[in-house]
Amino acid sequence: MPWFDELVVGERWDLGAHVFEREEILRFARVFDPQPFHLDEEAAKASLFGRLSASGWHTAAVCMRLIVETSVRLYGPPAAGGARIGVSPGFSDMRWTKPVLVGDEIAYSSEIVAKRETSRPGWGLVSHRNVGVNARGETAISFGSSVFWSRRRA
Amino acid sequence: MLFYEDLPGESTMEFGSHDVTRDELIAFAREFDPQPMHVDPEWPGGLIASGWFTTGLLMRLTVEGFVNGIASMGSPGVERCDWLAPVKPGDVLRAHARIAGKRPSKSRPDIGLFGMENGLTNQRGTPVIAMRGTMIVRRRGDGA
Repeated sequence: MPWFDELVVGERWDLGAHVFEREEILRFARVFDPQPFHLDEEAAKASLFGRLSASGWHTAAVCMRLIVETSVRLYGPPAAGGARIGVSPGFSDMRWTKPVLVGDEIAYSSEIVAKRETSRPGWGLVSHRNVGVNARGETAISFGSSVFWSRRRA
Repeated sequence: MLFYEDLPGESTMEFGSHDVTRDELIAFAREFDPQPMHVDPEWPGGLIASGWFTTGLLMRLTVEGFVNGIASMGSPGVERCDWLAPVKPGDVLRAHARIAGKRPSKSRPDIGLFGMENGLTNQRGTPVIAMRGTMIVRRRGDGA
């Protein structure tokens, strides 16, 4: 796991892709976004997209999973005494630009857009832009996120 | 069912609360955010919720308490979401929202937009999440 000090602005991770199947769309929406157009094909016909679509929170949550899996794949799990990724203070500029429909495969990526030192001793703040693109090359989801990252002790 | 025309220009609402359980935090995190502090019940200082779980919970309470009562057409996105304080098993989270800024769509005559600020507060009165975004709602005038 690299230290905050070693991270390079502009570095981009290919996170891999996920196919959104009907059952998982319904399962997520039932718990976290029970609007009719995420739960039912008939109701979805009257929606902006005309078809059952995944909740934007579902497409964001899958991106989070792929970020964690990619980090573990690249660096292994966090090691005692080594660099650590901390908590995140939140996200910004979430845009759901294309519906994610049943069977859509979304390819995700994450790019470091900024990093800055903070007043928290031992922690810097890293900002990412995360993007999900469908098979037609259209951006379906994008959002900015930030996370605290441990700094190498002097 | 409220349409765009029925919505007030500005309104503050409280709705719904939820008792957070350890099992639901772990189940969510295992699937979507498997970092140790979200899945390990023995995590030093205590297991905390993934911010994405808290966001999903805020969404559910907002949908059940308000959005499913209006002719919602979804949302183009969220301006910002701040995860202000840790959420832990046993927390009781209450949802609240403020809507404002109702305006017609520039591109479509059958829908309008409004701004929503919503959030959750825990049993100690501490805000744990605050979000600001835009919602789309159908206009009654489209003949529906």
